Amino acid sequence: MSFGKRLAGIVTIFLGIVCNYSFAFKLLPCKWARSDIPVDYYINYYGTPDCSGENAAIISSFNSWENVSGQYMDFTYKGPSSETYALDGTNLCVWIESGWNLYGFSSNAIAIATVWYNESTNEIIEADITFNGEHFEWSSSGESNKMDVQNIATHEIGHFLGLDDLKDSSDSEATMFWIAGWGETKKRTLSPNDQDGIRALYPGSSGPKTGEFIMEAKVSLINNLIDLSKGDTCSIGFRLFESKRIKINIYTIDGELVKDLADDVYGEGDHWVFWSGKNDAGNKVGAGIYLVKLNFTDKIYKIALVK
Amino acid sequence: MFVGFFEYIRGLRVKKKRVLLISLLGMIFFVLPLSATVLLKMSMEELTTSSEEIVQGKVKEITSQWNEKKTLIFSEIKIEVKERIKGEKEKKEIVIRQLGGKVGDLRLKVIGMPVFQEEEEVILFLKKDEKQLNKFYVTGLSEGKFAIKKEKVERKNMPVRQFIGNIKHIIKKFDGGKK
Repeated sequence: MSFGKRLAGIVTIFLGIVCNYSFAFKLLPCKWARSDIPVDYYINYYGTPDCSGENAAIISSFNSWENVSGQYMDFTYKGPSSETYALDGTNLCVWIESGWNLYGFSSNAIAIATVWYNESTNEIIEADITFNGEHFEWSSSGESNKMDVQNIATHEIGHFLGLDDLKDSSDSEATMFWIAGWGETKKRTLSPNDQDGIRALYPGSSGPKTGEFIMEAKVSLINNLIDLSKGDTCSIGFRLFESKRIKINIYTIDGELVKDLADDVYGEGDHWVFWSGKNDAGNKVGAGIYLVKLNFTDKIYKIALVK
Repeated sequence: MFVGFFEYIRGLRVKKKRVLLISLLGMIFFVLPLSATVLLKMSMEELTTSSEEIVQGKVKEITSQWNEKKTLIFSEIKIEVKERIKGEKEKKEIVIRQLGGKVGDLRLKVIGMPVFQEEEEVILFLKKDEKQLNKFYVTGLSEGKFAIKKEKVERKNMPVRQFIGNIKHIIKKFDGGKK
């Protein structure tokens, strides 16, 4: 065999090995229907006795996936729940402190994601995440001798939205790699391959998302156009990771205060306030452009009122 | 560009060709990532010593049903035992009970749980079900299930007899040969 043929063979083998050596991402045979998005989720209020801040860690994990650009998956944290691990219409994150093996879960399983789906439509009906509190100690700050909540939760949420495990060692830096270690935190950050995975499942843009603010206008027409004759209201949503005093005001385009929409302390989670086009005196305002200002962001949002 | 590369190679002297060949072979072994050692992955020794039963067998039947409260689906997998590698008594059949399965159109998928197919040949590392003591679950989720294809343990690319021999060696090393 000539040297050239031998070289071509080696290069081919090499490329073949490299090209087949790892998956960018792997999909489960199911995903959420668009009509079910945003997907609500709850966290069992007992949490874990091992640390505080586990709720915020889980919320951050969901946000990591949600904030990937070029995809439309969205989650809404609905608050604490007393529900346990079962098919009950609640997408739940829960720690199991005893009886882990009763489900047939092995002791070395750090956490398990379970997905209920309709096999004829491949649409997810419910997804739950259980954390092994019986055999592992947990931390919300990456302590070296414990399991990091955000690290593990970010991986399990990948399953929650429809991604499968990556098992090849060349994928060990990906969030969806199936093995985790004590004190590991690298899965908190999604790799480019993980991001490609959620984009493959839910391609497209989800709309404006800046910082902690989500704005959605319930309209008869597109964009932030409120038709008061049809009784439209503007819905203003915001998400908090900790309790905060929130002020939301509506101004005219000239800067005149129209409505003191919110001025209160709101707890951790998602909240909504609504404007029906009335000022502080209770009178309907005129058609035109109005500005929404919130005290925790510099961005100013516009609403157009028509009659 | 690819054609120009081969013309260049043909022009090299023999000694330089050999150096290039050795360099390329070296790239294959050094560029390809090494297997990672990860703390909570179970080693063969851990799988073997923590399992109460280890069997080679064939999957004969898989059935799924709701639990009493109709909140979870469990599956039972009947295994016809071909060889008992570790365990207390000789058994012709073993039943595995695990969370997950399908009833009607509704499927409960437990990520990481081993997936079985009827007529599949397998080697299984098992622990006793704590609720139903005559049944078992797979040790280490899917880590405790090794599919056999064409007389080879697929995941290890190893002949079945060699794989079983390795397990028996571990058993002897840690258990003193007790079965």
